[in-house]
Amino acid sequence: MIKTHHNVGGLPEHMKLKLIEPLRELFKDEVRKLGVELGLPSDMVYRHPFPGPGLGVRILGEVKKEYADLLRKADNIFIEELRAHDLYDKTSQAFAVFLPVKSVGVMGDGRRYDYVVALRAVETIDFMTARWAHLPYEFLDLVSRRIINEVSGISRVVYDISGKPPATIEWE
Amino acid sequence: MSSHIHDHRILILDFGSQYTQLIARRVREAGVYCELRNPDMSEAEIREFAPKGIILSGGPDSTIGEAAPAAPHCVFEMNVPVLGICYGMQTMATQLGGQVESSTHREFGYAKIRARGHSAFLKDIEDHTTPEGFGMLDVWMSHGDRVSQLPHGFKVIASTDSAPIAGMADEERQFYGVQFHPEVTHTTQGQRMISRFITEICGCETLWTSANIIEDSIETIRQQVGTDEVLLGLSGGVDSSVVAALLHRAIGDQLICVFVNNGLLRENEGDQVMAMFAKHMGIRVIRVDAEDRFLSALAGENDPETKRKIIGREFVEVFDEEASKLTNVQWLAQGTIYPDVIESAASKTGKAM
Repeated sequence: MIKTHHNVGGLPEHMKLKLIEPLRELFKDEVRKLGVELGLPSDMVYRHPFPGPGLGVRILGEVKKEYADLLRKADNIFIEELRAHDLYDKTSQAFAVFLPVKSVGVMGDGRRYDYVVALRAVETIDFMTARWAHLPYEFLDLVSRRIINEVSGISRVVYDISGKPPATIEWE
Repeated sequence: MSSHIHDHRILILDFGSQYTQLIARRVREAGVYCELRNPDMSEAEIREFAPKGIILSGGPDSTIGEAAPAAPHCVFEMNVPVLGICYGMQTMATQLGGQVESSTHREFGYAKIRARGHSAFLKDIEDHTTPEGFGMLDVWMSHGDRVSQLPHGFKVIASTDSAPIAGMADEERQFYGVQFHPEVTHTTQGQRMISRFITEICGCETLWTSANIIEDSIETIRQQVGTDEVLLGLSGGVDSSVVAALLHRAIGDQLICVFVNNGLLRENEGDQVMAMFAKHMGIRVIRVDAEDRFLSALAGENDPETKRKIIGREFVEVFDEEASKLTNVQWLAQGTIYPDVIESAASKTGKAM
């Protein structure tokens, strides 16, 4: 077992609900086409996969509200800029990871110990193998500066250059 | 219309190739419904399935071995076209009286094949023409064994230097076999070949389109649930979103969605889900803000696997509590998709996919 998946969830057994699964004949690409045909925005239909446990597995170690709030802000800047630079659809999955370690930074005149986020972006056809996305340096520079300037509590941004295999796409 | 989109259907018998799901996707892309099944399917099941054509997939086995899996013999007696791909071609050859040998020339990767004899399967499909005027195709090969002797009634339709019989056909019975993989995109004309097989050779109409699938699903859903209420857990992901849109179109206010904010969503995700589904589409969505509950359950936990279990457990409990308040609900909708179905069938038979 690599990791457990829970997104299907469990049935409230005592309710004895009957099950209806209207997509059980369809492949993912067919589901997406159906979504567009049904009027869902293509931004939503073609969004990157998001793990069932959400940011819970993108905050390494213990999950705290403070960490989740910082991560949400950093992740949002990354995704926003990917879309603005027409890079979102060129990557298969992109996100930020919160590292609960503090590294030193100099902000203004003072030294501060703040948290680190890692950016991860991969290109893949089937998610079985993936290569890290070779995003332009200027783009990474812009995202890094925005995160450090706008998210108080983060003073260092790193980019993950590991391929799958051996690294997995998610960090946990 | 609605009862017919499944009528023109192709059966794919899966001998375990890593590419089998691609065959199914190519058939669907060509506009025809198909299902993947195990080769141990019984004759009665196959006849009940009533395919317009049958595709035998590739697989890791050798037909030379004693325990080699074979296609049920009725496949060749039902008067429907059959296409064998790689192992599928080899088992077709063996079962119909031809021979397969282990080749010292293993082929993995790109190959150029020469189409021969203007078969219905490959006629006028080519990537290049040689100076002599022969049609050539760029294809993807992945095999060790090869057909060494044609079964009675067959002719060669494609060849390479290392596989003189890279394709074979009995055009009278409409049996076709190819050693290469038309289902992978590296075979440039592969989609055309698959389309050719299912539309021209099998005579399927291309009814499997998004618009028809929606129309068919709506009718099926209405018949299934009648006037009952249906509950759906909305996550913001693609599958549950499409289920919500589809069910809403089919049964309107009989659909009730529960959206759980577990505090681990992306920025503004909860508001966006509510704006899209509740406000814009007019779907009944119950939003549960359970951030505190999830975070307190996770407090102090460092192990990734335990974290996943806690999040999963909390979700089921929260969802269960909400569901219990809805006394008229009789159905639970889920965003299960076909690969989940295939995977769970495979794990039941103990077959690795």
